[in-house]
Amino acid sequence: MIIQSLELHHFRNYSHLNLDFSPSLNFIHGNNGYGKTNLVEALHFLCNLESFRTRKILPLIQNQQDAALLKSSIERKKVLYSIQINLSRKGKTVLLNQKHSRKTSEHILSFFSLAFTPEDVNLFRSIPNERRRFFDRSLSFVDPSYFVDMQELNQILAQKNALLKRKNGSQIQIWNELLSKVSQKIAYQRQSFVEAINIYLTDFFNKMTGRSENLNLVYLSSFGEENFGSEVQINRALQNILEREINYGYSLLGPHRDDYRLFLNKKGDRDFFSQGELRITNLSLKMSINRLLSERYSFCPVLIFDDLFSELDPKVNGKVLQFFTELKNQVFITSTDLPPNLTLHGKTIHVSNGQHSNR
Amino acid sequence: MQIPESLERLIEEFSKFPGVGRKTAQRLAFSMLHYTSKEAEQLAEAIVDVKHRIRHCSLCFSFTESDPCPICEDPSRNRSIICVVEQPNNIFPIEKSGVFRGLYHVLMGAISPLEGIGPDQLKFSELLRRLEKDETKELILATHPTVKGEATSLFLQQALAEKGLKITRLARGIPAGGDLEYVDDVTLIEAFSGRQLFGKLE
Repeated sequence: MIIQSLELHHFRNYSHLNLDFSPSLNFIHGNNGYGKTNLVEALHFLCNLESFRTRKILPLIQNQQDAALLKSSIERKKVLYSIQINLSRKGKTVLLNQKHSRKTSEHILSFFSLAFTPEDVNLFRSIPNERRRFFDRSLSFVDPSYFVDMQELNQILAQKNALLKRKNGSQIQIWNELLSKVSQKIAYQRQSFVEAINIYLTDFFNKMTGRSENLNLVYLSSFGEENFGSEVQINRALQNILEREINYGYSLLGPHRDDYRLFLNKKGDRDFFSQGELRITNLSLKMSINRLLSERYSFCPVLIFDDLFSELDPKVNGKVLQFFTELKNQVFITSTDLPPNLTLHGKTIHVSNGQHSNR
Repeated sequence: MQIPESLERLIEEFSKFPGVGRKTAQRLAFSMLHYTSKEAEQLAEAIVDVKHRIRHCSLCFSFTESDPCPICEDPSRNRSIICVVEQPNNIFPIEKSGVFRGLYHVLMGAISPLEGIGPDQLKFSELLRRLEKDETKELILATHPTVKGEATSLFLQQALAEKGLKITRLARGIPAGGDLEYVDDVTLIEAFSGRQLFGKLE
């Protein structure tokens, strides 16, 4: 997948912007606060229909403006698509090839970018919500049936919670049965996805750090390791917790309570990883997903690295850069300055306060 | 020029229809201007007539002009099978196909706690009463293949499990005459998991 061009109107600090990109490496540099991140944020939004910085629309619109416009030509499997996104107080509208697309699913199942940003350090430290969101997005792209199952899950949970809120346990059984069925499917897909990622994970980590340790991603089903494979056992677990659920007034068990953890040898992420380890393991994770997509699904997502070099250990930088030149993906890197000894095959874009110049 | 008040009123009335927006409502209203007085009166009469004459069958809750409805009254229909649907209009496609010659029962909705709809809000106790006196042997669950429809079927199945009835659910899969290319993912997945033995039956 290749983003060929980008046009912005009133997006963040850009009044108007028109850019063409290299299909390989794009190096965006400029001083802090001039809009490097805003630029890659726009690219990420075009692919994923959400920002990696905020869930809100309003901050994306330039001050004192009513609406923002993002336009882009994106090549996917040799086909050129035009994407236009209008952002306003009312929300977003998406036009794919000049046609309104009503379903976001259509879009997010076709386009995909992986972003590595300074905020990512928190992915394995923050609330599980963010981790599930990240893996859900990746998994939906890999397997559209996962997306459908997730929609079903959310409908079932909403209905079940409506009963629990009224402390009404009488009709719960049918919702638990539907929940067990879809939970088992989702758990299976999550577990398989984690296993597929683990094939590459350690290798990436060791290559990028020069260390030789075992990095492992673990899927933690809220039903417990021994239960999540069986619909019957899931249903039993739901049965056992019902009384507590009625007390709390909402659903306590299900895929919406699952989690993911990283382990370096036996060391768990949030309590024992150093800041640097959180970053590099995160980078390894995203690179593993990228590899998985290209090997199994012959798809190269757009890769975005925001402020990468300030984030990593200088010793690691060289190895990481070396590694980028071997990628088939279109890559966007933002940085305050140009790396000294980088032989660029791509394009350098200089950003200064909502303006830009090409080199 | 402003739209005259009487015309505006008609547009507003039309735009209350499902699937009709302001634009379509305008087109409908403007086309009414070409009607003769007689034609307009006939239309108005048809609307009032429907309101006066159509009601729900006291047995199956389908739309009908006579109570019980012609289907419930028809002696040639198989009284041992009841097909359960969510809405009265779900009956018409089934009738049109001619595939089913049993009786119906309309639930008048589907279970949805979010909207405050449980079995008590549906025509469920009425179904129970029918099952007690009728000679029903099989119940076909034809609720929609949605989460709400699924939940409703599951509820019926569990609530009626002890009644000694044969309970079946409509199959899901690929539409007849359809091209595989145009079948959506969910339907395909359903069709694969619901595949059947092919070949000579014993």
